[in-house]
Amino acid sequence: MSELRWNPLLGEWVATATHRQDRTFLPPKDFCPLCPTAPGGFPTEIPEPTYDIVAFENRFPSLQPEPPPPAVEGDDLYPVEPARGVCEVVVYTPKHSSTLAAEPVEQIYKLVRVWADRFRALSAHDFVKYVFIFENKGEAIGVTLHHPHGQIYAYPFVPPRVARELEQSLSHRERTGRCLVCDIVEEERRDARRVVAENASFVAYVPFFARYPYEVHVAPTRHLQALTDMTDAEQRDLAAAIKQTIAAYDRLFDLSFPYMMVLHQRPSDGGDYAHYHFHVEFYPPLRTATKLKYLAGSESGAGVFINDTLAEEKAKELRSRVEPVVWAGGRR
Amino acid sequence: MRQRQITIEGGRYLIFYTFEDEPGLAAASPDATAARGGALDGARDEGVGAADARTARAPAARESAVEPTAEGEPRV
Repeated sequence: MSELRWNPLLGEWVATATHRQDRTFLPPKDFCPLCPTAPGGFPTEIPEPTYDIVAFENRFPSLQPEPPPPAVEGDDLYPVEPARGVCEVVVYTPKHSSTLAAEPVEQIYKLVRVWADRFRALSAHDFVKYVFIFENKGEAIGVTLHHPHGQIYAYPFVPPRVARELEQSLSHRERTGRCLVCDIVEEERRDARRVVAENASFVAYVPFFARYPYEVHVAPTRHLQALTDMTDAEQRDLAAAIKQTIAAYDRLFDLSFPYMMVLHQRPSDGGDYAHYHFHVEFYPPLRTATKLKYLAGSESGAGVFINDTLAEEKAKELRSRVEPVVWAGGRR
Repeated sequence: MRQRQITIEGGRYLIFYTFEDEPGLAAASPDATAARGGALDGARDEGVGAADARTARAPAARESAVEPTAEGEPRV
């Protein structure tokens, strides 16, 4: 069963998706559902012997274009809605044991273009109000499949975290006449202590207000709202900034660094969001090579993150692990 | 960028994205893709340093320690 249940305490939706309890959990690699289907072999989700990048509807979606009726009836206190939306899986490469960080920058550039296409296509649904692109990487995050992939949730509402950023951005513009993220990017570049990497179009930095020790935000220097607003050069620069960030993560402790990667774009509900500014956020759960940053009482119960580290020091660590991005043929 | 859409089990769509007509963006060869465990291909392709190669090995090493839990069907 799946449905949306309203939480009146916080004013936000909770999606229930009980069928997801049965989804595949860490299968051996010979039974990976995201690998190509080898001739005569185990039939995977992708029925061809190879591919470059694929996107498909999730077999176990939290949201569906034609959702089943809710299991319970709602009322004034507890509104209930069908879980209408779209859940897609985006497989980055046919190479089972690769990671996005280990892929060449050209593959990440291709992924950025696929993301833009999926953003455009999913935004066209009248029931979709927000297209959320993300990746959960590593068992520490709770992935159920190791094969390199990300996900897209096309929600029938603007999710609360993005809604709060939108409110803050609008408030900042009304108060100062400027874009909030433009101001943040300008301040990070001016200060420079928290900058991890920079190219012609993007800056990667540990934000002044980082909640996780190695949290990184990647933002364009030009004011734009979505992947589809970017020029080809900007899409390439975004790929390079992502590559440098996650490759630096892997070099930190000489391990494949777990993280959540989320793309924050404008909503797809037809509203005016000229005050908003596209960016990518990374939330790695590790605070050392062997210790996790847990979301415990203060974080989960009060919404107040306690960061045991200084953003300036963690940015310096990451910056020392950044290596140049090399494009095939030397082109950008 | 080209795309080709097919229907898979359950009536779901699956879209193949290809870039064969764009210089420098050809897909990895079928030989390379068929060889599961090609974790170092990406690092080699880009000519990056040893750190990438080392980190690329980590997931495969972890996976080998995972108890098989296959349920006989490809699922996501």
